[in-house]
Amino acid sequence: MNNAVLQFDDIDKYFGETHVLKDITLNIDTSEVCVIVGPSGSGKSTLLRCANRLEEIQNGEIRLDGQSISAVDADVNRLRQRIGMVFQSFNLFPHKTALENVTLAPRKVKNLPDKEATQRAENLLDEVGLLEQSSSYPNQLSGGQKQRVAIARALAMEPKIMLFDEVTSALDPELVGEVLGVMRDLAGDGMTMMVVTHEMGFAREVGDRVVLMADGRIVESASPTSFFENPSTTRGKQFLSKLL
Amino acid sequence: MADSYSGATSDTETDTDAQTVVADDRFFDDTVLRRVGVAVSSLFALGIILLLTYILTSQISYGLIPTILPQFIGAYGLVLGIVVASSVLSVTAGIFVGLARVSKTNITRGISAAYVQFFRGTPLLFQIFVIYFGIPTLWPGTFPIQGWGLPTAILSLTLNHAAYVGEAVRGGIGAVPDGQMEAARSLGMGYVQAMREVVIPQAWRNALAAIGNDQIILVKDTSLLTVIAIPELIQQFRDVNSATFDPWTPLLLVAIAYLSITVPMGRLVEYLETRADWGGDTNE
Repeated sequence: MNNAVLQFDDIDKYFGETHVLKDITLNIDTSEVCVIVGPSGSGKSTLLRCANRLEEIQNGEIRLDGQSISAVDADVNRLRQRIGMVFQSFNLFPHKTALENVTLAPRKVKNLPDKEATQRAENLLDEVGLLEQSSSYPNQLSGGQKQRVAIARALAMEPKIMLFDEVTSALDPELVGEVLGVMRDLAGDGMTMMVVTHEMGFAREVGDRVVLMADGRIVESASPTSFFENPSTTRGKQFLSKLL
Repeated sequence: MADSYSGATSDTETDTDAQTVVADDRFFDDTVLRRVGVAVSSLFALGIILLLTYILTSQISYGLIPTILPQFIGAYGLVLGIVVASSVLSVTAGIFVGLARVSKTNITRGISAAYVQFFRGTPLLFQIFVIYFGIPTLWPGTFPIQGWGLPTAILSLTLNHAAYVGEAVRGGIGAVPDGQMEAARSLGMGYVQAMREVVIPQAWRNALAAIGNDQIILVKDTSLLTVIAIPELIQQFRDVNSATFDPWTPLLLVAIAYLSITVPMGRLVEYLETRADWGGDTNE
């Protein structure tokens, strides 16, 4: 409990009348890779978007390192600096080069000097294998390259936790591997990660815990081995049987 | 460009929709269509060239030009000054109108919508009259501003065109995907910062063609200022024409004057568009 980086404390979320997240309680520990799986419409992406307050919750509390994110007076801009997010549709800034995409927030939000921001961005682009593309615009990159730049962009703010929202779903199958590879390295470096995905291979191999969501609830939360070999709920069994 | 376009479409049409196109194809196949196009446009150009040649050789009193040139140059300078001032002011104001139009605050959004409705919905000529004749009468006593014509000119053009620029900016912002704002905010940027760094540069590019179009119209709108006796280009035409009964000589100078502003402006917009190319295709 003391170790938790991100805590969801009994939260509820409504879109108008629709109750999309129901009594969600979830703690994500330091260096844990928590993989959220579930059928579409189960609320997994919404849960992730609540974590950095792209969506508001109606009940409960979300805390980052013990500080409330969901409180009315929370300093969202400051808290979001410590939460990296990567989107399904990349959302790279098309008017900026790969390098500028990565340096923008450190320069403008953290007021890092240009030289230092560039240095750091080049290291990050090197880590995701894209140093040579640093002066390319997003339009000139493949989907997999775009997503790796997006990961570097999020990492440039030195976040405590990284949120991945179905980051491989918009990619051509042959490009999925390069993005998952970067995520695997990141997990290996001890990054705390919350990953919404349909990639069960990744969940099994890299995940420390698999959380199954259905109809806005967490129905199962287990280690990958026990979840995939021996799911304890019928929903879990159903979900896995449909994958085969 | 016209070639490749007509070629490309009719290829696919004949492949996919042979039934309906067959009848047309007999008379209007690619080659025929292309020849008709060349013939019609050439005839049109030829007609214009003949007309122009006739006017330039028989209707222009070249001896008159040195006499009237100074007043046209003066008017040209004045129009250019009015255009530069109103352009800068209307684009600046228009950006704020556009931002207000997408505001989440009802009051701001409502007022800016009403502003646009009024200034886009009434003629510029009417707005010029309201400012030139209407405003001074509201003053208790004598209106303090001498030479209210020039301020009226800049004010009316600015207010009118800020409405159009505002709509172009609103459209430009609307065309930026929501994910851009979300990505910027998720990095810890505030709303204003995200707008400035991420959304507006993209919205600007989206709106550029529409704004450029509007600013070219602004140049031509200065001609309306003749009704409040601003010594602009049309006013010079009227002076010369009523004194000499020669329409074509002053008309020629008016045409040259307007085109020498609007054509470079069109080029400038094209240049700005290609500069904001961002390594290729328009959309991500």
